[in-house]
Amino acid sequence: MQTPNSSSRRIGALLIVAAIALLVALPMLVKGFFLFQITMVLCMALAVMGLNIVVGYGGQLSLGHGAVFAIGAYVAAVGMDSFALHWLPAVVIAGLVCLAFGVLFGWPSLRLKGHHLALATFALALAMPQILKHRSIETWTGGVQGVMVFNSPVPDWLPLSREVFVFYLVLAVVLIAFFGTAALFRSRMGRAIIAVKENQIAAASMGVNVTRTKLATFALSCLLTGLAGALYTLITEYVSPDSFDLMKSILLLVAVMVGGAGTILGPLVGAVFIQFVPNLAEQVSQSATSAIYAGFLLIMVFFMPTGVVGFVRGLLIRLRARR
Amino acid sequence: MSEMLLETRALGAGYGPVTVLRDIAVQIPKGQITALIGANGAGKTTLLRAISGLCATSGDILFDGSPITRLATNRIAARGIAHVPDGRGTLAGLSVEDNLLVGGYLQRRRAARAAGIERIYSHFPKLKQRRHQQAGTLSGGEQQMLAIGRALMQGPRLLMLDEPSFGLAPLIVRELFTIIADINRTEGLSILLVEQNVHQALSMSQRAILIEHGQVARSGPSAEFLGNDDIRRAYLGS
Repeated sequence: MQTPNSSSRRIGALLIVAAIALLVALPMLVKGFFLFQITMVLCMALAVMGLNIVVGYGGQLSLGHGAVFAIGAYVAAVGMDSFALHWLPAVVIAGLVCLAFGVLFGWPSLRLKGHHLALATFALALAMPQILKHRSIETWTGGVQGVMVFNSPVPDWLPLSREVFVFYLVLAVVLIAFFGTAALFRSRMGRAIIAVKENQIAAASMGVNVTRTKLATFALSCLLTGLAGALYTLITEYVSPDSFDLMKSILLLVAVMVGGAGTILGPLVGAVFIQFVPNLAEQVSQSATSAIYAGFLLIMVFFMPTGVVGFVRGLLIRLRARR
Repeated sequence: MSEMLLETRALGAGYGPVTVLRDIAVQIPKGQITALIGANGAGKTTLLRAISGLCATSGDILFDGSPITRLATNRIAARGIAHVPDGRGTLAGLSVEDNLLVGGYLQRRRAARAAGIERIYSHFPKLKQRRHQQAGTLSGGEQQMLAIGRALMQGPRLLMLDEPSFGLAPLIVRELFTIIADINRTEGLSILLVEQNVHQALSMSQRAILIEHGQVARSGPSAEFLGNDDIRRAYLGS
């Protein structure tokens, strides 16, 4: 099997440019709820990109990225609500808090071998809604009520509606994360991350500090997912503890797998899936929504075991081989 | 005798409760090929792993005069020891060139990595032809060449090869050993070679170490091994 050659890379670059152009023009084409949904897809894509770094490239399992998303969302919400922060520092602080959280949480879990990270993150995801509701932090988090954030993030000099402004903001962060991740995995550090996934002993004997690399992978993934959480607060203007349950973490994982673990474009495709397929399933049948959703998922698993992006890549390679 | 690059003193090694090596004292000279021979299960692979910090050890290992005994594997690699493990450790999902680039992880400068890759391609032209191919799809011989190339990317002072001929056709083995001898001659690289093919190992090395039941049974110039009747009977089948 060949890795993508220059001509297919050029086609890929053209498609990406076209997609970006379409996204930039989107607020002029669609309005209201659909624009909101697309903004949500981009926000989820950012969260999935974060998880994809640790699962797809790092080869570690995290069942708790929904909780990291929640931390990002709450830090931004509390920052803007209780501490009257401007949205920009609130979002930046939320990202940094999640990065630090990734280091502190990942350090003990990643020193151990095997599935400890999966178990530890699973515990985190289970506990997160209750932690957010806990009485000791109720003054800031509002307990079961959650936090509402009403102040508009749009600067005075910009003639944009709130929805359109937030859309462009999310799009900008997603693009930076997208090209940043793509560059990372062509760099020395990114290759070390993949080497650790493929063969830890070989990576170590080539001079890679395995523990530190795993920790950096996890922390970086928490940064992206936490930023997505902070942007989520800007989109919905409201955070509540029960929207960040274990299911959130599982859905992010589903998106990684469906899109294509360890691919750059996979998270975007996966985010579209988890955002739109539930609605689609509801349109097919109101009474059996979950069953139909599960059906979609099973079809994906059977026909595209390497995710949509992996499937398309395989298809292109086979087509080229036939010519 | 020439200067010693690596020396072990009263080295013991094993896995958990199992002791494999006892009281190993070996010396690896600079600039030469040292063959490590012995029957299956004698502890040859474990000795390489002990040097690389991949298993529990007691005693001392000195590399260029300084102890490396309790260093982590990646730090030992950074000191200049490259280990091509048994089974080659191919990063199957990466391209040939990316495998080599990972091998150059310790070279922080991009230009140094690029120069390293060109040097590897000059030793192994086959790898250059397959540079964009996924490493997992290479033939066994090519994967072994890739593993050696990747180790050379580290710019090591000691190259440890664990049974490079394993599972390869005789023609490929000959090609491979010609290249290994060539690298030793042209670059003066010190090599510690574990090999099942005892005749091959002894004829291309300057010194040899025989390990039996986890202990050094004999060491000295390879020529003496080849001339020794006991060795011939036990390991060369003649």
